[in-house]
Amino acid sequence: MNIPNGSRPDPATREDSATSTTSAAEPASGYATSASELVKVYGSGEAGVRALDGVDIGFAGGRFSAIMGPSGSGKSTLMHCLAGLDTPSSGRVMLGETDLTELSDKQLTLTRRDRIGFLFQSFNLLPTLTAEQNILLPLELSGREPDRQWLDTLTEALGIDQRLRHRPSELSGGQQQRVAVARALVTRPEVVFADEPTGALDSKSGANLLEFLRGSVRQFGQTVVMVTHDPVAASYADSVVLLADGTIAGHIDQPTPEAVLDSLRRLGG
Amino acid sequence: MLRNTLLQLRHNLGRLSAAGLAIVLGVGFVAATLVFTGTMQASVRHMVAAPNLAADVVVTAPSLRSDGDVPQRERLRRIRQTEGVAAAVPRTESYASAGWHGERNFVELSRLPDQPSLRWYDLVKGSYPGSGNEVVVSQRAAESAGLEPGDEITLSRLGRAPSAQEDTAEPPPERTARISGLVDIGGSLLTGTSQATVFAPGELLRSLEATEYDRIDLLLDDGAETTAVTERLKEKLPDRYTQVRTGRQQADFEVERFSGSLSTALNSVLLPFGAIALFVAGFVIVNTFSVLHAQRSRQYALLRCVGATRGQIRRSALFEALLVGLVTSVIGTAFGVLVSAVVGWPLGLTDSPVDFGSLGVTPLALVVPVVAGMLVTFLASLAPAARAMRVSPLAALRPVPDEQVSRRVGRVRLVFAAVLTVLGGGLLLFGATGASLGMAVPGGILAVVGVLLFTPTLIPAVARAFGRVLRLFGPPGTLAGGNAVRNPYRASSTSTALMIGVGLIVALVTGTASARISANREVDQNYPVDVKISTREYGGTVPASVRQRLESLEGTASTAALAGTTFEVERPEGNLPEGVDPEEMSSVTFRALGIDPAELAEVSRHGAQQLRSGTMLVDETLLTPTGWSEGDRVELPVGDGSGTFRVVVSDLVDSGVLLTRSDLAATGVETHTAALWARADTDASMREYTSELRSMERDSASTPVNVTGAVLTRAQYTQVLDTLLLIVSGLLAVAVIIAVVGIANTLGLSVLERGRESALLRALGLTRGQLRGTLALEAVLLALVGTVLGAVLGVLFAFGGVAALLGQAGLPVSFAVPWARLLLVVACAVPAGVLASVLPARRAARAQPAAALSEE
Repeated sequence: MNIPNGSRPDPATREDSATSTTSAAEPASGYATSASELVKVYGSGEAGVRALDGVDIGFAGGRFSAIMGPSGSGKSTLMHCLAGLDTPSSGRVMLGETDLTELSDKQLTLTRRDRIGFLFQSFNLLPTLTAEQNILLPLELSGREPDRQWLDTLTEALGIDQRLRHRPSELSGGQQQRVAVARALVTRPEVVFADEPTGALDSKSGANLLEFLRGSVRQFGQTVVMVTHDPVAASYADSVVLLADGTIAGHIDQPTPEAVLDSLRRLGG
Repeated sequence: MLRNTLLQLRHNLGRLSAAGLAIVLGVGFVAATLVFTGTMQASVRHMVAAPNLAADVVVTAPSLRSDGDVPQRERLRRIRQTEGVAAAVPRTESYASAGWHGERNFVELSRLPDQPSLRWYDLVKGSYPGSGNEVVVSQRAAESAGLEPGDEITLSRLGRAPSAQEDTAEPPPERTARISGLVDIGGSLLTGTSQATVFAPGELLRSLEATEYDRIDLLLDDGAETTAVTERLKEKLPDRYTQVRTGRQQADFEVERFSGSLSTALNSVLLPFGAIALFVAGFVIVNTFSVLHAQRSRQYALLRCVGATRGQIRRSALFEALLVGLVTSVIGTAFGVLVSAVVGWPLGLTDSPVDFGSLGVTPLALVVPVVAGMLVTFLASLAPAARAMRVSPLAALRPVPDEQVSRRVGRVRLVFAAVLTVLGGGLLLFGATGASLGMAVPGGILAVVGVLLFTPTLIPAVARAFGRVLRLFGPPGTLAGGNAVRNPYRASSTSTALMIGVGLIVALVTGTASARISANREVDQNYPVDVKISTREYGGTVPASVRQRLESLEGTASTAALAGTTFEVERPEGNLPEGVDPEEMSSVTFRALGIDPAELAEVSRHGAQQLRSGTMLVDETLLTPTGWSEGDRVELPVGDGSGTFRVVVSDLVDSGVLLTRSDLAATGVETHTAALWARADTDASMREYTSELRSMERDSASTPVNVTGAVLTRAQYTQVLDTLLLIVSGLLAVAVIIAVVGIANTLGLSVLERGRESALLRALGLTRGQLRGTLALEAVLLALVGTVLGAVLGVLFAFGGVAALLGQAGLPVSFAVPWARLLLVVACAVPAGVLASVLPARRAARAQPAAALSEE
């Protein structure tokens, strides 16, 4: 997959990409997305499960970060809370300068629409819309005019510019996921959250997708936070945060698949 | 397997609720109908039976005054002489005019038997008559008229008295009677309760010359054997028209005669609407089971994997349907009984002649709705069950459930539908142009079936076209348009249900609008004069006050006062109705009116040129008794030969004959103002004008007048048609409500299926309000498609039906499209759709955005 030499017009969020990596220290303003003392309890009383047990974390802008951990470690819950999809039981979640925990449902919806992009494991395209309609849906929802040039740049880079009139059922799995990527990026979101984006893809399509995501960080200064359980996928990231039993269990900079696997083994053992 | 079915059923109870509601409504309608008619029948039975049960034996003879060769008196004498008969009382019954509070009223005049045991009613106030000029009056009517014991009323029988044949002008005798008491006669189906029944002693009836009777009530001696006495009576009264029955037999006979036909008629009118409601409910059920089975396809596949046969899956599905049908039908029947009780309760408190207070719940009324509901549910589940059976065991092994692929509509079905539609449409058109109902009706049915088969193609196509308009509403509109036609079969059966209900209502509205125009044209043709006022009695003069009022009435264009007199001519021999004594009907009496041709041209809409000097316009019905025919020269009995005229049959006269004023004067007979004719402004408000005319008729108490003519006839037609339309629309409304429930059902089930999608949209930034809006637009789209198609088809079928029906009846065929009402019906689709989407939208809006990211 070729990343064209277009530069992202709005590189506002990349100011500290050179200095700060993912940090488990006190989150401070300046992170693209961060959480402090984040607790999420499912259920109540005896049956209550503490999916997140006081997490403090921040992700710097213009970086490709991965969240990893064994099943039940709370990695998905953490991402849902960071992305404003789920409301935490206590603690604070910041998106840039905005405290998501103080927003109403409607404000949260509008924030998601305008400032966050999503990638899902099962591609989650709307079957009744064409590929192009799917890509432009978030813009249409906010009533913004699509930037045609940006759309062309994205679709060409993703190799789906010839498939825009097709419906999802007429596309391959890899093509569907690339449409989903275009949808996530078309609004120029502050952060793209990806939940196991390669989970339903074969390894070649998966590698292509991760290359593209890394490219978008390098070329456009995009911020990407990805949840994955695949050490190979995690190795595409600039840094990896490890989660176990709802707490931060460590982090790796410039990960390799072996280093990630090793850390995971230690967590499991 | 059975346990699994039950568990599944329990698990999916919520999803069945809308289908259940549809069945409950449909079955409830049927049950309520049956209970209603049952109540009616029970109450009629009581009402009709009561007057018969007092007598031990009843003798009836159809002829009023003669019994074959046994004259009336002789018959009564023979009965009284029969061994075992204690008393025989002729039950004299006739209609009379009664005056109180300065008004004339129409009452039933009945004989009060001297024997207390023959009085089948209860005295509730005052006492029974102590003298020959006292009467008792039925309580409810008397009280509503403000009559009390002690009040005086005047009585005179209606029509010519039998003894007064020779002098027709003499009015029947009038007597003043005092009310001694009030009696409770219960309700009377025939008279209602506003009409009073006056029970008078035989003495008073004789002086009023009201002596006609067609039955004799008998009391037997103590210890007399009823059967033996009836046998003896039959021997003594050999005439085949004379019937001898015990009081109980007579009661049963009359009950059978009245209520048998009544409840059959009611059932045959009401039950088709129940059938329509159930038919529409069938669509809702088909949808529900289709979705339910689709959702369970993985489960079925799993069952197949572990060894369940196709037959077992199918049986499980059908058993489930039967169980759902049974439970909902039982609830529906209970609901129907409840509804008829609730509706009947206030009716029972009113003066209604039917005793609605006590419900007539027959076993039939309980069994039929349950069986019908189960049958409909079972039939509607057959196709979905067959599809459920087809699932392959492999489906269980696929990781992600297949995206629902819309099934293509079979080609065979399309060809079949096209053939049926074209054939049926052709037959309908042929029947319409050829004025043949025999062709139009089967044609219409074929075409309807054809169109129904077409709906899976037709409705999504129309919905897609409408859906383009929805894009104006932004993303929610685009999404709604796409979602609505995602599953063509589901969309089509949802909209078809509504299409049927709306189509029937629109067909009815259009049909009545067309029928009204045809009827008006027919009325104008047959009644050239808008208003005709004449005295009720021959020989009376229309009061000047009536004339003044008519002339000053707003909407009256011109008036004419007609001179009039009465003629009596010999009836030709051999021109008598069968069985009538020639002695009694030897002559024909009719009224002759005179008007200037110029005046006639002013007040009549057409036909005025028929009236010339020397011609006599004759009512067609006068030809038979007089033996005249068109073009004859006949002589009126004026003695000097000046009364010879040429007969012209004309619609201008409703009865009797019409001459020019000068011709009538030339005969030398004495005349008086016998009638007023008037022409109304065409733009006069019919309703106000007719109510004014009716009040004129009521107010003229001193000289009773009749008001007839085109205006009143037209008002009558209009009222009948409007009432009919209202009732039938109300009955069809049940089907429409079920169809709207069906929309809510489809939407609700789709929302469940699209749970992840809703969550995704919320994650992508669709607000709750927008999500609800999407659902509302989808519902409105489905509702609009059903309504618009229903309206179009309804109008088309109505035109075909009206053309064939009116054409066959020989009436002028006119078409009218009631645009205002059609628009109203279509406009109602929007709020109905929004309403249907409320609950599903609430559910959809609850979707958590995070759910979009998590796997099943």
